[in-house]
Amino acid sequence: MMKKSNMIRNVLLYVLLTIVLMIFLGPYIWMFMTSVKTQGEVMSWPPKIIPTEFYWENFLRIWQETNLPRAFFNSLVVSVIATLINVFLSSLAAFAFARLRFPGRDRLFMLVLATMMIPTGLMVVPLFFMMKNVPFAGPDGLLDSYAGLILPFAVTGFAIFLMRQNFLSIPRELDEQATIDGCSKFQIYWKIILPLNKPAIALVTIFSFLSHWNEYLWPLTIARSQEMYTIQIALKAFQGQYNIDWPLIMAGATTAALPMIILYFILQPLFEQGLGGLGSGGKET
Amino acid sequence: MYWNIPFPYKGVKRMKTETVHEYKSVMKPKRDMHKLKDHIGSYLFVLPALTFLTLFSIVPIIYLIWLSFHEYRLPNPAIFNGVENYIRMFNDALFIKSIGNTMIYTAGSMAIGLSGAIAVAVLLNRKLKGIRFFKVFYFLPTITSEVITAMIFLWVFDNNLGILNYILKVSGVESPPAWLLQPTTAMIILILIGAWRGTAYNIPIFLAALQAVPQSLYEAARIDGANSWKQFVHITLPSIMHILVYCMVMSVIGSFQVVAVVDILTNGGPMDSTMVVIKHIWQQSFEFNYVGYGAALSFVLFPFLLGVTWLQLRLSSGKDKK
Amino acid sequence: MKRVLLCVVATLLVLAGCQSKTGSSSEEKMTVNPPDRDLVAEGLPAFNEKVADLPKTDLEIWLAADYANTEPITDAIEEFKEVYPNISVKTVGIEWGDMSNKVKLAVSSGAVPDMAHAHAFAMGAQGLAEPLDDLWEEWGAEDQFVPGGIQDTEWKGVKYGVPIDVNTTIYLYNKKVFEENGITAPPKTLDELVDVSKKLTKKDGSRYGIVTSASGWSFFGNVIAEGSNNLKFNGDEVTANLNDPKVVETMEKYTGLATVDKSSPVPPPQQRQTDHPVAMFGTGRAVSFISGPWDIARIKNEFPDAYKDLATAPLPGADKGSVLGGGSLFVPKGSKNSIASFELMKWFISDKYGIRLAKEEGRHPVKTHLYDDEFYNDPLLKPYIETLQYAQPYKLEAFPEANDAWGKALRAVFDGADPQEELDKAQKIAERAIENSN
Repeated sequence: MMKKSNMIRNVLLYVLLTIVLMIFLGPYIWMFMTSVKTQGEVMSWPPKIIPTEFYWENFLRIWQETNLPRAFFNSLVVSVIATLINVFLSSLAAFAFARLRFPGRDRLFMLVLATMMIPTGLMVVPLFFMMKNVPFAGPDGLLDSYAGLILPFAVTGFAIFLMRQNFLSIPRELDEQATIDGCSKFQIYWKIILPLNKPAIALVTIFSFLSHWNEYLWPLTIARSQEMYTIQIALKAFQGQYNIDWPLIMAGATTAALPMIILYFILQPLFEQGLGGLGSGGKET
Repeated sequence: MYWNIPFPYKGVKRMKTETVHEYKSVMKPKRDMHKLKDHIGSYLFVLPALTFLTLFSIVPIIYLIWLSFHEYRLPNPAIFNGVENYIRMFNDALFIKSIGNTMIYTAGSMAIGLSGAIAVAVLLNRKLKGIRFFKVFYFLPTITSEVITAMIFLWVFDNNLGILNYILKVSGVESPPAWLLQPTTAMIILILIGAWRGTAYNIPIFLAALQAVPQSLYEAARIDGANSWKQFVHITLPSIMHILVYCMVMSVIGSFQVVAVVDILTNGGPMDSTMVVIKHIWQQSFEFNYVGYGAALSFVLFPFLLGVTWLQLRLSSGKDKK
Repeated sequence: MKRVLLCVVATLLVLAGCQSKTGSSSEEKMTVNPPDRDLVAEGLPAFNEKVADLPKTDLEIWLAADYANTEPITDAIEEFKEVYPNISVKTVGIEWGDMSNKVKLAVSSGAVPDMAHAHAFAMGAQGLAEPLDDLWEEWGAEDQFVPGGIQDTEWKGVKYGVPIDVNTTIYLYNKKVFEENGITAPPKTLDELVDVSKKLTKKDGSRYGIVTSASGWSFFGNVIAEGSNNLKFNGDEVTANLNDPKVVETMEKYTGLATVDKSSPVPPPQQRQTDHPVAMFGTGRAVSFISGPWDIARIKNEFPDAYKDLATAPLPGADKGSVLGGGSLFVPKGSKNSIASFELMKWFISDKYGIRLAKEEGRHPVKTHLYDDEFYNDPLLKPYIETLQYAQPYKLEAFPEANDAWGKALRAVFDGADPQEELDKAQKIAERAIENSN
């Protein structure tokens, strides 16, 4: 009798999980289906979800007709470097904010929090002028360069915040033990805290990569030649003056989403290490 | 707290906590001398990150503050005009309205988004065959950019061409509402889309938090006869409170920045009911070319957000009575 | 692990140093000889000594994204470089909507391209374009152009660019449905339009007589067709005319199609609504709509069945004409290479490439004599060519706030507001905007 109620419970769970899956997945099924339709089929009435024929040419076209391969590469470079910088520098800072005591610590942390509240859109103009006038960098400064694309949003307050929350939940006894054993601060950071933080690092990696991958406004402002375009700008090129080539844009969007899905698939188990998690006690000093 | 991990140091015995405290008090004088050295070392940890943040976030803010006292119409140079921009702001009814709209949007999408995320995380937090498949695909809504997501939903909710109304018509609804053409429904649609994305974004965070709650607590509660709901309210929720606060803060900050979805779906209409703050600032700064005025508007928005965040953090540390 | 990380970061930082150059010129001189062939006979601009005498120049040009990589453009650039080897050209494609902001930022910072693509009059009005009157005079080709095309580049009497394509709006309708309902000719006035649309609308909502659009630009076409304008031009002076009684009346009748008669669905709220009328017409749910020749090609491609029954006519109105669309090329303020840039513009709209842009990309030419090409014998395009001579550019775009107010007013009326009230509000905003820009 126990087995039967277990089975029913499992079936119910699967049903529930699938319903939720449909809610999340539904629009993307439409996106993919649109990318294999012809333009006429997109607006047919009654609306057709599945096209009569799978028109894969759109995927070929985006690779041939536009700058997409290069844009793809650019987005990859920018996202990877920026994420690496973010994980490394933010974890250093978060460690100090969570563990070390120094004058002005809490005020500096509020400053970090403050930087999270500024919407990207408003910073575009001042950052543009700053990048143009970087000394020693030629007449156009860092415009239209990888450095210009990466640096302004390389470190985010969000990463520092998240990692600090995580560090707070690791018991201090580990630190104290290590100090007594003669570890320097950096050794504590590198050998103890960081390894216990794989879940937070995984989260920051995913979210950093995601935000750089999907960023449109800043690359649009700073990139001036087609070779420097990132993927979201290249996708926008399918928007014409009067029409939008829907199947083409959706094919581009599908292609743009693939690396993220792969990255998330790889990192997902790391969230479940459970140890040194983000939850329970986080004591501040 | 008992941590069942192998102690990171091989061959070193763990000292008892009392011994550690004794040891520390003996070593205090030596420590004072090294305090300065300590502090410099600590600053070195935060220096790189802070340099980036100062250069690329604080400096632009200062520039924006400076701009807010000028009239700046590209490509002409900026002309000082005192507090004129701020006076203009008081008469800008649309600005006030946009803040109100954004707050409604924020409250709605945060409430639905966070409760949805916790619920789904609880659902996912179990050993079930194939659960990893679900976990990966539940993240999908965050993977595409705002613009693409908005375009997809356009085809769902459009009055005459969208799937939703077609399904409704076929199911017998005579005249399904024009979702995006009426103020109330337009805002509801925006909130739902915001919650859709927000839920997907927060599920991994809550999942990680849930994993850290020790099973022993649940077992003890079960022995005491508590049902699932009681377990959830008295064990799960308090355990993830820290993360919940973090997610709420991030949710407010993120919701205030929404603009692409509004641009594509409703363009601020109908009758400015979905005009959100950033869209208004963007329109004033760049479309209408009042960059100085836009800077003033941003400068007012910014402490508002800071205040909300500070409030949330205060409330959370108040709850931290462990 | 640490070492691997450091290596990776080091390599990528090195990559980060790479950047591309923007337009510049050096003092290096090249001798450029005229080619053996006769350029003019091939439909190209005559060899220009001044351009040949320029030192080595790198041109950076910004074109709309759906032009930049098309064959007529890339071929034109290739041939231009062959004839003038001292000029190199770098093309950047930018989405139409983003162009204005990018140009503003570029001009403010001093890092300007040598050519950009938008509406030259608007760019000139906002101080973002170089005046090109002397280059035009030298060229002497002004009378070859469709009058609206020239107007698209003019602001307060100064020319700021070269038009690259023109179009205007016409009335597209399903002639089969017209015949079935005993309507022998397309409506010629706005009142006739209202009557015809009402007649063709089915009570159960399965078919609408017309699809209206909440685009301020498109509606401006109706205003012109009624013989009015939302701006008044008195020599160099521009005044707002949004609440002119004629304008109010036109708005009332036009929006009434949707709000009062229900002969049209209420247009969707998005800024970009070009899919909506085409989709409704193509799937048989609407009998007519107002749009431009670009949608003729679209219907042919996407709804071939509906294409068979497609017919066109000039906009119903008391007067002739409509709104002029298209775009023009201009030289952003601060560029030092206007001579070379202007020459390249001439090449894009030359007979050889202009007609290619029309045939291959649907971009209609700006030179009147190109309409003699047999391509324009298509009966569907006849009303378009007729209207083109009287089409006027949408100059309100030079005042973004006023433009926004105009669009908002139209939208509000579709949502149920009173036309007179809304246009009075918009008029005030427009007056203030015009004042602010002086």
